[in-house]
Amino acid sequence: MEVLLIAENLVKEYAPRRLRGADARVRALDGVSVEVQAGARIGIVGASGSGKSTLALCLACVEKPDSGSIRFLNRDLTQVVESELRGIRPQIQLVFQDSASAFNPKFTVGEVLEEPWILQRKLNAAERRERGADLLQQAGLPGNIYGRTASDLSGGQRQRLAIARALVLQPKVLILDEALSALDYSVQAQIANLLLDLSDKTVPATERPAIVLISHDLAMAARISDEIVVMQGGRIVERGSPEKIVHEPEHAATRELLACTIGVSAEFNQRPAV
Amino acid sequence: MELLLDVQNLSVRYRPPGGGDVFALQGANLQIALGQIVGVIGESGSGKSTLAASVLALLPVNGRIDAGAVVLQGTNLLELERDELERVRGSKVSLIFQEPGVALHPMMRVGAQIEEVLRAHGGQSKGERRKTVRELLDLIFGGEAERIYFSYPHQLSGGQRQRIAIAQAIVCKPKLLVADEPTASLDSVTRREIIELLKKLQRERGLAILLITHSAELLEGFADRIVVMYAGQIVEEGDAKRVLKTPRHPYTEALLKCRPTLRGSEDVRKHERIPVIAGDAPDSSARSKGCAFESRCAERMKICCEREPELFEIENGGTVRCFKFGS
Repeated sequence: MEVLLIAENLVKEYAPRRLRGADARVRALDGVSVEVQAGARIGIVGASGSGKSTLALCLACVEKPDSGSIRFLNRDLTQVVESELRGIRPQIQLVFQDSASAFNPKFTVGEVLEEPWILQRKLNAAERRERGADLLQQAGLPGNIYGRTASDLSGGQRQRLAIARALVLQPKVLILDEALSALDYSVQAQIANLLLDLSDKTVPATERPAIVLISHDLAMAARISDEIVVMQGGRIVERGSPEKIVHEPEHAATRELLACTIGVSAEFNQRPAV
Repeated sequence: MELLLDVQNLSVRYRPPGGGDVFALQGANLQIALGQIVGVIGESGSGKSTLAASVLALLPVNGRIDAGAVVLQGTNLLELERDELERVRGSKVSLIFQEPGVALHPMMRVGAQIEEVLRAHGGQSKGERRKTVRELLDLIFGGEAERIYFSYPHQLSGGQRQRIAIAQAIVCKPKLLVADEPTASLDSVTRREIIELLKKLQRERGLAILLITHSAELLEGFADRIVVMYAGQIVEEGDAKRVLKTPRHPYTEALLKCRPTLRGSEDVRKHERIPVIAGDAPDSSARSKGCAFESRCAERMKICCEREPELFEIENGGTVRCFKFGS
């Protein structure tokens, strides 16, 4: 299996505004290593502040780590110049919880989809239109919305459009940072199924994007991924197959996530107060 | 059990500036007993937040109440004057939202912001207010109470800010707390801490809670009763355990299924597609002749598109709006 993206020993610190003299640099990533193979499906789970979103930003070359290396197809992304990054970024796409808010509100669905091709000076108008319609269909959106503005769509439709837009330039890696979390469960299920279809093993590994799903929802991550990475305090504390993580969790953070994912258990009345 | 809140046949519509009325709530009935926890589940646009806002008579300006009453311990809140309503809100019934941070003053210590609520409702000296707030923070934050009291909102996490919002809401000892998606912006660990805090307040202070959520699993082991909403209507109501375990309305069943769980030992169904509800949510600006869920229902019958089902009673005191249970 071809290795697309390797992050080794990433460290990233943020310096919050100084408050009452406290010199508290926050170490968001503290020696994190992950490897993304072609067509892989990886779930990165953890509570708020575990560093999973910072990892997403570093993998997508939006943030530069303070130390460590990120290699994409054997090029070290921490060393390359900005002009070269411009050629790499389209191959690693990032979808946020609220990506749709970044759409130009005056743009039609078609313009949202075709813009990347126009910016990259690829395809003529007819080809763009045709491929755009294909992508809409792939994302499970009705074809008749092509001329509507993105703001006319429902929340679920907008998030599907965000995923369709991320697929326009046929990325090798699709990173989803809590991209499902704000949606109704019925809509989350539709988008999860879309991700499963996109990454289905019947599609040749070179043609399907690798998926990195970042979430606090262990149940959803277990459904979609082949490998689960659990983060806490900027470190990876446990990793393994979904079966192993769910049935034989070793780290306390994993067990805590598991307990919360299953739902509030009946016996919590006896638990000590928070 | 003594009745606390009685929402009777409540209908609400919104009149957006572009025209085309939205029927957000259609003849909703809801009862909450003293100290009872009722959960309302449903998808975006089902009318669950409108129901929450109506309980405090807090509809947006384009919202209009077409019919019905919201009776809290014998008083219809919809008939009160503005100043009377302001006395009721906070002291008898309170509301918390999804985003606690936006309601907090960024330049004021949170302890003082909780005391401010007490001052607005009058009746206590400065020292008494401080004592009341300290005791409440002890209950909510335990050993951290002292530090939290002197913190500014930005120094707190999302979960801590939500607890401050809860403290503000209950500091005047209301009988009912309406919580509209209080955990939607929080991660699953913090989410559970908030739910456990609400349960503790119910247990120790007899607080009744109306929890609006799209996460049905939060209600397990928490709510006494569950109300399911679809397209502005209550489509199922009943004992919480029963609704979660054996949902009767086809919509409730579909809604609960589209959530992957990790419950059973065999339940990591890796890469298996998740059941979805076919079709799109209905447009609340048009009212259909038949059942609102008919076009998406896997069990539809001929009668379903002919007329609207009423809420039929089922065994053990629940109701279901489906012709499978009456005609």
